[in-house]
Amino acid sequence: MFSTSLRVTQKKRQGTKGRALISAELALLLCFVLSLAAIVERSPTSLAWLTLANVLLLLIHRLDRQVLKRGIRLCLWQGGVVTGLYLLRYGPDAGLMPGLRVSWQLLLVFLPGLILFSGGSASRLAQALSKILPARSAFVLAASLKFLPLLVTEIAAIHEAQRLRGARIRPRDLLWPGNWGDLLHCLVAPVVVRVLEIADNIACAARCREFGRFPGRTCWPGDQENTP
Amino acid sequence: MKHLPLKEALFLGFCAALLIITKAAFRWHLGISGHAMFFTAFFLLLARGCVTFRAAASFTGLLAGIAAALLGMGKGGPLVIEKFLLPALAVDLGALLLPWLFGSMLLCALVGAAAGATKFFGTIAIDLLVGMEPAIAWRHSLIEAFAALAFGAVGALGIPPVLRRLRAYGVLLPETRKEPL
Repeated sequence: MFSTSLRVTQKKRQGTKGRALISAELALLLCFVLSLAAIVERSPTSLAWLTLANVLLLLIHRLDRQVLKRGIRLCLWQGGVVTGLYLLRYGPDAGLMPGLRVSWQLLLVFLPGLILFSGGSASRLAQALSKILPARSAFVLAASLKFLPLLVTEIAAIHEAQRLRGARIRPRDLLWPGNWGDLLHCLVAPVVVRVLEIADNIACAARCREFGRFPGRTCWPGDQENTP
Repeated sequence: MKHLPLKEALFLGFCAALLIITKAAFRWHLGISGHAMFFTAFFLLLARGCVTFRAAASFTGLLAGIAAALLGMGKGGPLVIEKFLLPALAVDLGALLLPWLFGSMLLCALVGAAAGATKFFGTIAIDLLVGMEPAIAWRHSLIEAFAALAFGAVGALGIPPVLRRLRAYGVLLPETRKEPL
């Protein structure tokens, strides 16, 4: 029964419910171009144009508000750290503007990826990646990037739990190399175990859906609306 | 790739994704050259140490490189793939030639340093492509490679304790009984 319902060929998407306004390939290309431009461009005018382009992409791609909030909070935290480091190294006069500019650039580098990987479904991403990669590798890469926010949440939970146990893994603790052992034993090793567990769960779910039965890319009937 | 179980392939994919986000998060332009090799060496060695597949690090490096190129990291566009692939090849070669690699901190540091040293090739290729004077390109590449070598060696030092802990947990099989996870 599964094999009859399994879609081996890609068919035209039907209906408009949940339909994205831009194709996965175009979203991937936009992500590449916008992120690259955020790294190459340095002038405030160019960065302002890029910000506008990102806002437009955000509106088109209908990103979940919670994901957006989490992403912006992460970027603001990192922006604060980067600006602080610039101030420490170059002083308030020479360090403030470059620090703020780099923080702004970092936000613009992150944002297209966040929009692409959190806004669209994993199958759309895998479909876009399968144009440039073998189907299996495309699935692996798409699944890894799609589940990355989950992994980051897990890492934060493990970090918090280990800190409550007294592990010396706060950022200021890690300035002292003697505490790096705690980082490896209390954070890295449990994170690797959790990563293996998540990978096992995803692999099990994929096997249940007959992943790998055919050499080309296959998708579940529920995902047919996401294939062009 | 066909012989690589899906679970292990996904684990390598996660290593690639974590490598990308740590590299992006520590992209601070503070003038500390080669510091990104710390994470590159660590995650590539972790991938190779946890998975018995011979090209595990190369697969991780390739995935990380493609993801980095798509996310526009690095000024080289698609050339950014070599920044991940060359160290990954060095790690796979090291693991192939040194079967006791993951039990020894010294050997891990050596392979991490070799992975870092591959930055020389990538840097000189990009420098020459953008039209830099060969003498300056050589000097610049050597400085970059030396810094990356040091950071690669330090990043690799963290691998043996983590793998020892994972073996103690029973997550990985002892080195004498290497089978797929």
